[in-house]
Amino acid sequence: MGEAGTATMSNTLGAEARLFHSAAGSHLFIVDGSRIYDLLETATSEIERAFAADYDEAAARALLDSLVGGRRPRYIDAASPPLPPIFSLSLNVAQSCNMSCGYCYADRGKFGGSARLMSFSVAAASVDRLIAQSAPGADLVLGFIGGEPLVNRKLVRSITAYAVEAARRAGRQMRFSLTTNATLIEPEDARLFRDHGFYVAVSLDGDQIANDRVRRMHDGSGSYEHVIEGIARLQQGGRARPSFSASNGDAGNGRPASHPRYLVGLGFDSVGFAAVLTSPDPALAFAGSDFAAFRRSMIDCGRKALEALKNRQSYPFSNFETALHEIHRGTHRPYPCGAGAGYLSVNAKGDLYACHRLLDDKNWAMGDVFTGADDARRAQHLARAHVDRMEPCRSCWARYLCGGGCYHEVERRGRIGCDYIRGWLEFCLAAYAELSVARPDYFSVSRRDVDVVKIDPAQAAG
Amino acid sequence: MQHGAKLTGMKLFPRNLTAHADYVVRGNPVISRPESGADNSHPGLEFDQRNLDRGFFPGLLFDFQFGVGARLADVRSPWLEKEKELDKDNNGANSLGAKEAEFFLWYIHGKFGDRPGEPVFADLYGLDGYDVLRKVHDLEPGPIAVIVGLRPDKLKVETGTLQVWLQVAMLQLKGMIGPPIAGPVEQRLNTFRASDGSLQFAVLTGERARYLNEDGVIDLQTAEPGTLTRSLCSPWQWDFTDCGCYYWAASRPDIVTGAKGTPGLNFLRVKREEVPPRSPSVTWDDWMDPSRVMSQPRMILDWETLPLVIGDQEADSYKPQSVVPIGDPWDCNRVIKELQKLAGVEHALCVKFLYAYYSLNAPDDAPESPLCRVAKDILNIAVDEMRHFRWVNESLVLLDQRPVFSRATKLSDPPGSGGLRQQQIDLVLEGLTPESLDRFIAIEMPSQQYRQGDVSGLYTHILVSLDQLPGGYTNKEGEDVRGQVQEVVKLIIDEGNDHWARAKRARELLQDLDPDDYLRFKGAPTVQPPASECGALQSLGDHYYWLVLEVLRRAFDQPPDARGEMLKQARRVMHNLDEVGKLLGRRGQGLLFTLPGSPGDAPSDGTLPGSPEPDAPSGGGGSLVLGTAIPNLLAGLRKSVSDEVADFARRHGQAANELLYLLGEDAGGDDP
Repeated sequence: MGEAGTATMSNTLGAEARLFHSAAGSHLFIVDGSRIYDLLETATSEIERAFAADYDEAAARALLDSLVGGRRPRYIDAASPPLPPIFSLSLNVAQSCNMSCGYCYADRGKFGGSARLMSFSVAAASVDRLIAQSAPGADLVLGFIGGEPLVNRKLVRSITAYAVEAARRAGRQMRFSLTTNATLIEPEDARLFRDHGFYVAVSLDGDQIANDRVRRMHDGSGSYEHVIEGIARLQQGGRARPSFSASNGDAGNGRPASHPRYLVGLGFDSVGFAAVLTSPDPALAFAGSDFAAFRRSMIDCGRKALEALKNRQSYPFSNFETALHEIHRGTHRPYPCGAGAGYLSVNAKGDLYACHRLLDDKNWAMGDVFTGADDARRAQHLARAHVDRMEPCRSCWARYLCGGGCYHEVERRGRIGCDYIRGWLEFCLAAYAELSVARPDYFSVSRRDVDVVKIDPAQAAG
Repeated sequence: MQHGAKLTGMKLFPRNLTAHADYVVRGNPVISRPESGADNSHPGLEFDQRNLDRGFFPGLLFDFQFGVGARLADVRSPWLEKEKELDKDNNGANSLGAKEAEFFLWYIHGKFGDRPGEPVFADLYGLDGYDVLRKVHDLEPGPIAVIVGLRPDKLKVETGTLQVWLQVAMLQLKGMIGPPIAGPVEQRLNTFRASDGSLQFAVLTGERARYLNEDGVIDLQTAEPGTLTRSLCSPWQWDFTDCGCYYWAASRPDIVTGAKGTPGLNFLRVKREEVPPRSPSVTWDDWMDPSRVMSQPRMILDWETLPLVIGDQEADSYKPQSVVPIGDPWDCNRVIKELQKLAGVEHALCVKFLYAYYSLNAPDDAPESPLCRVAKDILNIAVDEMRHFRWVNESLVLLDQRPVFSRATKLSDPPGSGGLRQQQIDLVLEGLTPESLDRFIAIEMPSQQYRQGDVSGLYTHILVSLDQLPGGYTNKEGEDVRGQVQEVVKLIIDEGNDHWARAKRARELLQDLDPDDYLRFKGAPTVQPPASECGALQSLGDHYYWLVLEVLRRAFDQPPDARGEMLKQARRVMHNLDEVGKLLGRRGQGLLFTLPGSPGDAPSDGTLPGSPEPDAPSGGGGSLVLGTAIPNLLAGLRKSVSDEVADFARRHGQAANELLYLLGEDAGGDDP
């Protein structure tokens, strides 16, 4: 399978289209609408020429228009979309944690000294607010985060019951998710998760050695064994166990430390990897130079996954499978995620922020659950963050697949991973082309869409 | 949408979903895509109404095509004749209707939905067929003009000349369609030809098609037979797995038992053998694994191989249950007599349940409370009985009988019923005390179960009789109406089964409550002094009750498809009666429901006080009497010290005048 096409995109056509190659042939990716076309050989060389710096730009545009243009309006234009109703809130039920991970964005679980538990009244007001600002009949998601949310398990139980009833009365469907370090799981927690179909995201950094290097208990001892115990308890729910995924921070090494198979062997439904970009200890965060190795190993993992999928075997490498399905659907969006749009995060006091990583950051404050989300701020955010207004995004072919990068990471570190993202996406595009030829039924429409509310494993430090 | 790069001879093949969706086949009719779907045309169950838009301009037929535009597909009279008149030397090859020429819709001048007041020029020149359809669909009825012309690359005149001609055309047009005048707009044609005589464009004026003709039926000028069904849903094929509005897919069985008894099979499985799944699917993806389940193309080819599913089990034949004969079926005359009695029973039940409904002290602000739920159930039963009363009478009218307005006083067992009910039940007005509720339950007990050899239901007996003795049901017009009567009887039987359950549920809900708390009155109605307010209300209630019966009588006098208006008026009066019932209830009193005519056994021909003799022409007699009584009563009530009553009286005063005027109209001109 060919690696990314090496054609240098030097004229502005490169912002609107990209030629790529796979074992199934050559293809054209049209940025607007994320459309993919197969090309015959004759077409390929002509298009390659059209992208070169010395090709007349007007002619190149005419060529592109004749191929895939037309008078249709653009899929994404400069206008930011209307403010969507809110469909998901994450509740920081415990600004406090029983662990002390090296890279934790919450000051290694100490939260700057002011550990706090959310009260029932704030949580209930959050649920009410979510329902009030959601669309009629909507599917809603309530997420429990922290710190470690199970430190406040009493609230998790009581608010789950409250939310189920409130949603029923309001004609909405409520689902739940929880991000946990899995060291505090009791049997009754597992039962709660099973009874309400929780999506449980477990943070684990690989095998015992890799994990315990960074993810430690307060006394400095490793967490791995506790996590394994916790996972076993989670699985005791029987058939209807909650779906859980592992997120693998693996800071600094620049390589997914463990083969996903290993993690899958522990009983996870899906495994995803995310690079840690922000950390109080900079040694634990990626430097720009770490990305090359990371990219190689992600693609390596992806290749293994592709082979397995072609042979109708399961290989739940979530980064890869999510990308495949989104590429198949032609997902295109001018934002990296729903933060500040359909998704907001609530701190222990009840204040709303654009997302869980931006809690307590004044610049990203968006109202509170008692008086309501600040729609003016949300609209401002959408207007500002549109990827066509970002540099260098506006001229990047991958912008509608990437969306511009995590707001939190970009603010702290800038856009240092763009080459990695483009490389990874190019690999996924080619893999998609091959898999859709070799095994089209993998993408057949009866397959349920990838769950868009799956907690992004990129919350590695959560 | 241009695809297939003609310019450089390159071809592209869409791979992912957005690429596929973006690809629109040039020349395809625009209705082949869901984005043009309208209401029930997706494409449509009986027909695709979008096909009507093709004939929006009478005499012309357009095809709306992707990537092409709105192409003139056919030209008919009067345009061919008019063209001949205009250009007598024209040899026909250069005409509007010539097959070689391709004319497209350039402009429409007319009123559109977004600005219905003012006619505008819609510029459709060069637009895609889909966009033209949307504009055409938006046209308001009235005078319109269209300009059809050749494709830009086929025009033989220069742009400059064209512009001038268009200016001229548009000026002429504005002159042709002046301010709205009475009468249809003249159909006029102006042609613009190049120096070689070939037609470049033409201006035509007329009126937008009405789509329906004077009989309210689709106008054949707009749509010939076959047009409307050019596009349709394909329910038993593609749509069975994938319907855009889920209508067909929602009706499809999912999990069935095989003919041999194997449970848990997927109805859409490709391999029809009854092999139970190795392990039950727990995910949708697994259940609908495309390698195991019928695909849409497969559905188109093989839908006929799918078996019937009856009672959740696959079968290859259906044997309807046959009705077991009874020993003493009734002939037509006997059936009619029984139906007449049943009309009286339904009438009595309806009134009885209504009276009981008003006896309940149900609060307005707690709809989920047990008492409110009971009230709702009782009211629903009363409404059902009203419907049965209407249907029985409609059946009698079908059988050339007069409707029956009397009211039975007792409910007795039908002959040979085996005595399910130990005694006759009096159908009297009483509040919903526990004892009376028991009587309700006894009344509604399913005596309509059909048991072999022991028919204990009157309606069931009638139903079986209609089957066994089918003769004699031909009406005056020579129609055999037996089938229609059967349907009505079946419906009544079905609904009756539900009443028993509701009555029992009511008893459960009330068992912990104290009747003194939840009842406003308990026994039969007490007649209040006529001079008192309650007395006036009771009298008003009676008058409304008589008015309902009178309006119903008039409704039954009309042919079935003309009854709607009268029935609507009957409902209005029912609402008024309901208000009176509630007002009285709040004052601890019940409606009297005095039977019109003599109390007790009223004549079965249903004469009403003041109504004309059966053979007299339908006149406003009854309502004339009521027409003065009701306003007088209301005038008195307007002076009430209670704001509630005074306000009610004012509102009803206005409504009553309107109502009586309408009834007076219907009666044929007697001034109220």
